[in-house]
Amino acid sequence: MSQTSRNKNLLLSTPYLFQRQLFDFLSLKTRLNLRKCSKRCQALVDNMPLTIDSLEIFASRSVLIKSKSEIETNDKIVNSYSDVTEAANETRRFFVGGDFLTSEDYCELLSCLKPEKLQSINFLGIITKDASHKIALLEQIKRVPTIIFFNTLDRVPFEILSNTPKFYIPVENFSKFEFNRVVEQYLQRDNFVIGRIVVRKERMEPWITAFLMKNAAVKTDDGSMTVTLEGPKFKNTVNVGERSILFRRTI
Amino acid sequence: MSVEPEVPIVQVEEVRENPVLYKIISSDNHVFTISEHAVKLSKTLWDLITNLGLTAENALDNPIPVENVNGKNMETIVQFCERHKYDEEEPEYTNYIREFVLPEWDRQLLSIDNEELFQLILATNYLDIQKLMDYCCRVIGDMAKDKTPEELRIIYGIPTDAEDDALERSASDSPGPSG
Repeated sequence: MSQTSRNKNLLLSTPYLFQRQLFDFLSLKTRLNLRKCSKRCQALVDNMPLTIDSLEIFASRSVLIKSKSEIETNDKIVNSYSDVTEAANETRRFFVGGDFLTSEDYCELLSCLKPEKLQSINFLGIITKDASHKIALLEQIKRVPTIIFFNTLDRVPFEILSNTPKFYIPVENFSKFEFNRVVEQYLQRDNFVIGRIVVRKERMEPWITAFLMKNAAVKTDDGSMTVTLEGPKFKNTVNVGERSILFRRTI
Repeated sequence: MSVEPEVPIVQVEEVRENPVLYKIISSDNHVFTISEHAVKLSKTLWDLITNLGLTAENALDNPIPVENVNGKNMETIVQFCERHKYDEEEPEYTNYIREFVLPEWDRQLLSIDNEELFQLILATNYLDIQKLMDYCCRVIGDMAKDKTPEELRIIYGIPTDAEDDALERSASDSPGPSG
């Protein structure tokens, strides 16, 4: 196969419609490699939408980049982590974490993703307070429908959840003050749907038992207790089990 | 159309069950005949035929000039359209990466050098033949599979940033249309 001249380049000089279609046939790995060919190639790749159901970037001692059909176990194909989210700009479910990621990395990675396409952001590691404050300001965090934390945090990162309809957070401690904040603010928010705080019930005693008694909790089949809360705008249930609290919008 | 070019007519297989044939003249005056089912694969040509009001009776007397496509590409295109004229429509796709195996016959047809492939893509784009466009994409996409940036640069003939800059400088230094 002979090379083509600049003006007859199969990649850079073909009609836009063809380029747009061609990119449907190029894998994430190929796109990342193309980005490294030249600035023009990089601009072309970044302008082509890439819809990926699930993308994972885990940067620890080694870097793991996983997408639906590819698995990469090193970072040789990228100059910086954000290369990946620049290319996979229409990722739906994004998994991110690892000791090597700084708060700037998190912000850079997330800010490349199109907020309107994101369905969930899944944090795989511990996030520092500094990172948490910075991430909370991103459009992507404010608009994503679901946020999930996989690692146990010290406290609920309220700033990250400021507008999230669905969340899942394992925490070491959950104070009465934090619980009340969820009940009074989150459960009355228009877009709230469901949230689970994973925490041992014994860590919340005695105030959680007092709450259950005060609100006429009903015992459910699995032994957990459910309270129905009528708020000024919405009705919700709070289900307290041995290992988690589930908040759920009913009306 | 009164002028008949003095070039050989490239005959395609006669279609017994559908005798309607159309004549197409390429930019270098080669004449091709193509069946109705085959020409329908090209949205541009079919729109033209419809707008010109060509019918089974007058189609062969009114060749359609296609000035943007040369004889070589038109021959490939006619062969492709005749081959695929009875194919079922492909389902809509939504996800990357589009997976389908390129049939061997088509792989052979598209085993041409990059320069020719480039010209064929322009012709396919102009004639709006979705299936051939897909197949060209598959061929070009396959070239990139598992290749390093350096290999990609060679395969696709991608200039480096320095080459791009140099070409841009020389383009801006050269006199414009009035100079």
